[in-house]
Amino acid sequence: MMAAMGMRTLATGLAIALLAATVTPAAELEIPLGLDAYLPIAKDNPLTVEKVELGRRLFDEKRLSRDGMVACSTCHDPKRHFTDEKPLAEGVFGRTGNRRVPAILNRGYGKAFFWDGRIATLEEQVLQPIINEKEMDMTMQEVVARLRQDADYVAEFERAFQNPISERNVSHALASYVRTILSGNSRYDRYVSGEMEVLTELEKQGLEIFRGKGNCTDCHLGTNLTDEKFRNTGIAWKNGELVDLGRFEFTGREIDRGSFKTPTLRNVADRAPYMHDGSLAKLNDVVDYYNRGGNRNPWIDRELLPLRLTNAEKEALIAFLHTLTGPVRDGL
Amino acid sequence: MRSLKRFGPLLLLLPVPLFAADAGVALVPSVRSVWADAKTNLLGAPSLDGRYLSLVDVETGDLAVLDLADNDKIRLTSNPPGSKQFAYFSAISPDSSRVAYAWFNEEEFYELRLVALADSEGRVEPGEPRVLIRNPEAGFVQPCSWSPDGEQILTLLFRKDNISQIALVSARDGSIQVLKSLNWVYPKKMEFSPDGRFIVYDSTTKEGSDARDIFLLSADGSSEVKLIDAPSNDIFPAWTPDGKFVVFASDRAGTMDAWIIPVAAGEAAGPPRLLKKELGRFLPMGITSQGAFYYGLRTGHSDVYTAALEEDAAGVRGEPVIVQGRLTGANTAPAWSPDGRRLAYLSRWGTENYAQESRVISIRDFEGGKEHTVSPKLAYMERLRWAPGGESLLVSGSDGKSRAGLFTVNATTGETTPLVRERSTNFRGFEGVWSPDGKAIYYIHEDSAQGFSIRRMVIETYEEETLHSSPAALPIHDLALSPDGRSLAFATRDPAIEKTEILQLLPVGGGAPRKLLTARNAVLNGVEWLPDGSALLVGAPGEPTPSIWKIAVSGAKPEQLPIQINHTGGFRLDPKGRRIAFAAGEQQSEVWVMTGFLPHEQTVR
Repeated sequence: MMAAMGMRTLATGLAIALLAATVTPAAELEIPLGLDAYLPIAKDNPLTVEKVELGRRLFDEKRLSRDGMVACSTCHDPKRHFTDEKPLAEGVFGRTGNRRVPAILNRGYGKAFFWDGRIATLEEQVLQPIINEKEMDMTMQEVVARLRQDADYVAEFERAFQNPISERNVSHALASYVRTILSGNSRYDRYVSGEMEVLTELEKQGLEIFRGKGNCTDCHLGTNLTDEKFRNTGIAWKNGELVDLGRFEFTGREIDRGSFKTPTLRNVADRAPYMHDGSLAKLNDVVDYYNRGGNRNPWIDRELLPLRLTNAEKEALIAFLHTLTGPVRDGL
Repeated sequence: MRSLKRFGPLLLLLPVPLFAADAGVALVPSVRSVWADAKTNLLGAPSLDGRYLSLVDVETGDLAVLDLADNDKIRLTSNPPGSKQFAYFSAISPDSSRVAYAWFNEEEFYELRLVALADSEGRVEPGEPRVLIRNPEAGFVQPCSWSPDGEQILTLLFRKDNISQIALVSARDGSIQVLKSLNWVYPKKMEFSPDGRFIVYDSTTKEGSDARDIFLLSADGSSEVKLIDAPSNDIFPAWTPDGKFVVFASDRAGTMDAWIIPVAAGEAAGPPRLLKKELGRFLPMGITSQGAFYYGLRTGHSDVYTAALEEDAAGVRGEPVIVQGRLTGANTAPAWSPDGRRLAYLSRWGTENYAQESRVISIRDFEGGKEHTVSPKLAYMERLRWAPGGESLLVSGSDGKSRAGLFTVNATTGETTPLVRERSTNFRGFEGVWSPDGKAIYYIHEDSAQGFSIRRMVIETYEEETLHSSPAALPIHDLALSPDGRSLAFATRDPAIEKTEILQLLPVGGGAPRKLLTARNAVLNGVEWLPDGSALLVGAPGEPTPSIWKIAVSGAKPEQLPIQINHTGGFRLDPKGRRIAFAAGEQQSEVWVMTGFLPHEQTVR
């Protein structure tokens, strides 16, 4: 028999012991069922309660934006699985970006960040929206100056880092918090761990299609249901041209034209609209899109072929995708 | 209990002293054979005290141990006769009291089980097996190593979706903690450190590259470092008993050699050093507390031969000639090109695997006298068929994401394109042939639920049509299309008579198959059409060599041909019917032990 797996904890005590006495000792991060116990953490940024809590406050801080109206959580709304309902990201002064707000669930396991993967670490990533003119439109010097005017922040940074407010410390606090945003323990996770009765027959059929005829696991695999790789699925191909060059803009490699990162499917049923441009409103639109093999274009991924799913198979696949929704937890 | 043949006490002293990790300490490793017979397998490991070697009894499928003191084999499980269940990988607990093992069960997935080996006094006392993991979603499990306190079993879970996971399984209640998931790639070896703080394992780091690096993962999942980060292929890590070194295999010096690297506080504490040159076809099994390193060697050979045939395949002219390529001793599955100029075959390549071997395609041009190899992006290849145009091959096998089926491979560049690809399919893939115009393929589809069928797929549109479904899910094999493209010959079991195979002819245009041959107490092995389409050559058992029969399509009496070739996997007739190509030979395994290689003689865990 196999004992059921519950929440696991990742001790961060060793790293904390190296810090000053003001830091809360023996903090533990709960790792939900279905995720790896090994969560990569930057060597120079060990998780502490103080940093994570400071990061949470900064995540909600609208003063990090030019107009004082936009916080990280404005788009990455904790009540909406850390994303929003808009097709394209909306930033300060009503400025609209050209891509959908990406999901930031389980990003601690990430290997490349943003739709085009131009950033390699969470510590670097968390500052980019702040300085992006279409998002929060600040400079880090301005951010640091604003935060230094708040005595509470001055004290919190001192407590968390034993150092004053700085760009580096803002980055480390935000990254620490984002690292704790985890989704697991879904019915899918329970099924894979051996609770065979937790999925309905329809959902089990959908899982078979997900792994088999649908070829979904070619990209959406592993504990986080993404390979963290980049593909041209044809979404950016409109009226005979690529309207967004995707990763090509970063790498300059021909193979990357119109390619975007595979997103996680964690909680996917509750995170509409879909794709990097939010152009597909519902899950069945996504399934229909892939069922016809995507928008054919010169750079389309070779794995993408028409699936020839029946209506019943599509229904089963969508039923299965709903089982990927689990509780989202954050903080320590 | 039964003694196993032992090639001992053969002691081989290496002629040149080797220098180990401690500078200036000259060591003379010695090696001796432990077990080498037809039943040798490399699925077990030695106990820490060096008393036992776990193994699979290949006759019964039972888990067993070999008592290394007296060579007695002790069976630990009792598999009923005729059972399809069997034991697979195993690991003995640090105190030699229990064995954790994988068990292929009646529902055709692997369980993790535990069985007692000895009582508290050390007397051998097998107990009732206990199931620790029984989860069809964890379709394959491999116990690799025990924690020093005997509480946890370091286990590789290979999930149904082909994700491999490094996991700790409680020996008490089977609860699982997944430490790390690896997409598609599984460690070839992983081990607990003697202090229980770290796990050493190997894995690839770049997609499309076979080269591995070696990692140290903390047993609580809190950190990971690369112990070996180099362009070379560094694999099979194992801890020395004192936990101060990791021994590993590496091709960094051009051949696959044993190396050793000092480790302290979970990091490399110095550069790696050469321990032993040229390990051969080596698979590590474990190091005892006394520093005896048990390992497996793949021996034997398999090569491709050609033989000239008399007119109308009436006999072999002269002796078969070995196809002498760059890679010798591990070649199989020949296939003639449509013009008969070239012969493609599969060659073993790279480091050894415990399971299926890595292969490349060798192509010999008989007229130009040249040979080249292509390396498709496939994890495994089983058989080949040339496309009618001769520019590519139809390859049965599986890709790097464990999807099996049929692929086309460009004969010059190795560029690989999937044609039929499914999960939950035998890694050997499907058996297929081309239509004469190269626009379609016919293949044997295997489905665990629906059984075997023969299908046609149009390559441009991927549209499929089932031409024939096997009754009662009987296996179909050896598919061959007639030269005019109108009939498919195939072998299958006779649904009415046990242990009997039949050769059938299926009209491609539609209709029921027609029986051409009944072979009692035989498994047919090789079906090839004569160029004029009047008859087929069919392989069957025989003494002293397999027999080859000529089966006329007209239904005339089968005729045994005076062709005596000791082929192991069928044969292929060239397009003009003048030559035959086949593979012959066999692969074997041996268990050896190496001692005297450690930097510190007195290292005891």
